[in-house]
Amino acid sequence: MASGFWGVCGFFLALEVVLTLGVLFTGRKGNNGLRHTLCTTAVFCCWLMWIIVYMAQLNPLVRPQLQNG
Amino acid sequence: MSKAMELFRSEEMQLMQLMLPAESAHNTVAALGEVGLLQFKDLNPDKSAFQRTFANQVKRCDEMARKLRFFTEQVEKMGLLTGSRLGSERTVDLDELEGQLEELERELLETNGNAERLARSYNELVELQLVLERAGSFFDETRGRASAAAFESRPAAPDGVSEIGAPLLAEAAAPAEPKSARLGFVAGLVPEDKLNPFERLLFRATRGNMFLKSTSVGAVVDPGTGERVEKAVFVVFFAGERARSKILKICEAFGANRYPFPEEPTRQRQMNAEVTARLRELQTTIEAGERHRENVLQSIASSLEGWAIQVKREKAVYHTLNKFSVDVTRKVLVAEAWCPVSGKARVQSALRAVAQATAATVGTVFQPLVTYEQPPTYFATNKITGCFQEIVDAYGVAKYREVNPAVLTIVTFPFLFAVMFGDVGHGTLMLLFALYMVLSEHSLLRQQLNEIFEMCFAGRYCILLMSIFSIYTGLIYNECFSVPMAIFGRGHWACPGKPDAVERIQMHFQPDLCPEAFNQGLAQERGPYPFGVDPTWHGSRTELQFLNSLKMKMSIILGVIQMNAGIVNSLLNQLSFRDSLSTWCEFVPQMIFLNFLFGYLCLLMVIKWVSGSTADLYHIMIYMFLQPGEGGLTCDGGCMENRMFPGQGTIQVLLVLIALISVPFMLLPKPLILKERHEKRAQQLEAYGRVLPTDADDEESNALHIAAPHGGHDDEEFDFSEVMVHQMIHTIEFVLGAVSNTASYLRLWALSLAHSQLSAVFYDRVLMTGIKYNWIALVVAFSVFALATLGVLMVMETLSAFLHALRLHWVEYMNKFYSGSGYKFAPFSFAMIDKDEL
Repeated sequence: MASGFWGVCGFFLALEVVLTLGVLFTGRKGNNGLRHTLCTTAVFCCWLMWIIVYMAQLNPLVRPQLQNG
Repeated sequence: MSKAMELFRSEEMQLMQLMLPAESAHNTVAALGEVGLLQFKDLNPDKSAFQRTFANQVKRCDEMARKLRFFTEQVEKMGLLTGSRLGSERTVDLDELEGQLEELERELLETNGNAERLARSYNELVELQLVLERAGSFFDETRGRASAAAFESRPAAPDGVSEIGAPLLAEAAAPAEPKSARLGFVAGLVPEDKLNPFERLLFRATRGNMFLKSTSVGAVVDPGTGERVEKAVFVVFFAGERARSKILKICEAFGANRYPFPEEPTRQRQMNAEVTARLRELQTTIEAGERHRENVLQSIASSLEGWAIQVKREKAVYHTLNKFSVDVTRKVLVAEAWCPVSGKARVQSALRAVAQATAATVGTVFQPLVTYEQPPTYFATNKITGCFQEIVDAYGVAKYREVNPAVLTIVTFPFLFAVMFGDVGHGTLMLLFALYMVLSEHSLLRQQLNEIFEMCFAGRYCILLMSIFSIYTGLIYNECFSVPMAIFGRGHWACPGKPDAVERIQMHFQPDLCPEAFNQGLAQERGPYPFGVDPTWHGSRTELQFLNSLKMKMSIILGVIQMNAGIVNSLLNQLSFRDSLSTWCEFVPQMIFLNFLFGYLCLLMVIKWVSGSTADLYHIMIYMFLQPGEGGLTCDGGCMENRMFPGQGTIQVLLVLIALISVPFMLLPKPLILKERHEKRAQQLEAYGRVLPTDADDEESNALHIAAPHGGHDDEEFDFSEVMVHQMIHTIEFVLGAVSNTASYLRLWALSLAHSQLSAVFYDRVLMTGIKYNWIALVVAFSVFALATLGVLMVMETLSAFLHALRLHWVEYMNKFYSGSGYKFAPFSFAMIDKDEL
């Protein structure tokens, strides 16, 4: 269980690092603040949504019941 | 602070004064139009358009624009292509162009007039020819019969009236009225559809004393209107002069064209020959005229666009010059303009270039002015950020140097859209559409698009981001056209006690394999699914129960985080406007109120998820107010399951107390402190005499004064009651808004639910039903499914998710900090003017 959690978290972290480096190396000289902000916000939003769904399935109170018939 | 992120705040602006030498003013303004970075202020607002200095030139430009519109119309009528723009060719000066246009217009009007006259007489001749042929044939054929009849009836009619019309009226009039006057007749053409009423009216007017013979000739060009009309040749016979005048009037009323028609066949033939000859002659004349006209228009068409741009620019230049105030000596024009600080260097170099080119003795003076006026708001956007800025501007243009909500909107808008629209399949369809628009952007930019597509095209990057996020949220929801995908492995749920039995289909077909699956449900064997919603949930009886709880909680958490971001933006505004009073009396209590109530709710959700507690969050939140303390945590039966962590009761009492105290803290201190400050300043003014801040004040902090409404210098009247009421409204709005806005974020859940249910219905009820039968049913079912997916999900659902995302940004997010009371920077720019209609 824990491996999946840290794996995905690590993936988002790596994504953020890659995007930051990408902005640093491909962006124009000087003011890249906007690009960094946008990348970070996007990664944060995606991570947030993932972790909400992950946490909701940690200790589920309802269980899937198959429909008969 | 000045080196802030681009787009985060609007560009710094400065009011500049320009003094232009009169002789080079026109060229200077034209050069500034090329640069396009100055917004000129109107310095003569009290003068009407006719009183202005260059009213005459503007009028001339208008006249030229009218001529150009006339040319465009003519060229388009001919179906000629307007030539590519001769962009930079500015050798023709305005006077020359005016003369040229005048000449061309005269020539064109003359050619048109001639062509019209010729066409008219040509069409008249055609009609005459028709009359000669058709009416002639009536006469020929009746003449044949007449001679036969005359031969037979000679004994009966001894007076031997060999009147040509007689045989036609043989049965009715001729025998009864042998002494009648000579019969007259009128020949001509009448529109086919009017023929019946025409005949009826003639009959009534002459009391039946007439005879009409007609034959249809098909479509003929009417000489009067130049349109093709179905017509019929008629000949009407009548008796008496009075009948004649009546008939002529009726002909006129019905638009019937009359033509002279000689009685004798020889003269008819002669006339016919003449008409044919003249027709041939006219034909060649018309063709020559047409060729000439085409040549003229062709030459106009090739330079039409260049002229149009030149005239538009000239007119704009004179409009701008009209905004300048003219010095008494009429040697210098004085202008005031807003200019972005970052663009000053470009303006200056343009001005230097003009001064060199015109070899003026004095150059243009370009110097900053001190002002307390609020500068215009200018964001230097690009094609990607532009559409998001439009979304924000549609609500209100940012105040000068205010935090721009568009920055976070670029991500959060597509993200919140995708929370409602999450589906890998639908996201991919949308992605294809967006990619098509983005990749063929260059060719699409050059085309004239229809209105709806134009709108989509303007927001192509927004749609692209929306589709990418939709694919991501689709992965999280684990839905592709409502079908779960097992990208991250099989579901983690299995039959209780039998960890190997995970195949749901097997359990379905062998109910005795795992009877528990149908009543208690499956058990999670291997921890949570690593990414997104476990595919096992799909189609289970408890699917909605689980998803609704999840999505509702997610909506609240996303909402509280976004609203917090909004309040933090208000802090950034207060910091940059040096408004620490608002920070302490608005930002801090607002943060406390929102987070101590709804932030705490989010925290409880997380604790509940992580700990697996069965606490009832509704109960906790409601009893936090109704019965603060530990007592509120016990339910009716005395159970303790609502206690999620030790000391919860005490903490909740504190949270509620502090949140409630923060409400009057939002309301009272700020107006009172403002009042006190005002009184202190009034006392100081009394003590030192009236020392008002004048224009000689420090120039550097100029920008600061403008930006700080509550800062130092508001020496205008202070109305305590007004400030108090304003603060009261603000407080009430925030406190009530905190509740209602949080609830408003539940629309994320509602729309997401609606989307997944709709797509599930289309998939299960339509496509899967079709599959059960033969292939024809499948084809039908698939086309219904495809149409429903496109029409309902891709168009309507997209629109509604878009609108709800828009609302969440405009209302729930932006009302936390955005005043939106600015006005947009509208520079004088040729690039903009060239796009305008002539």
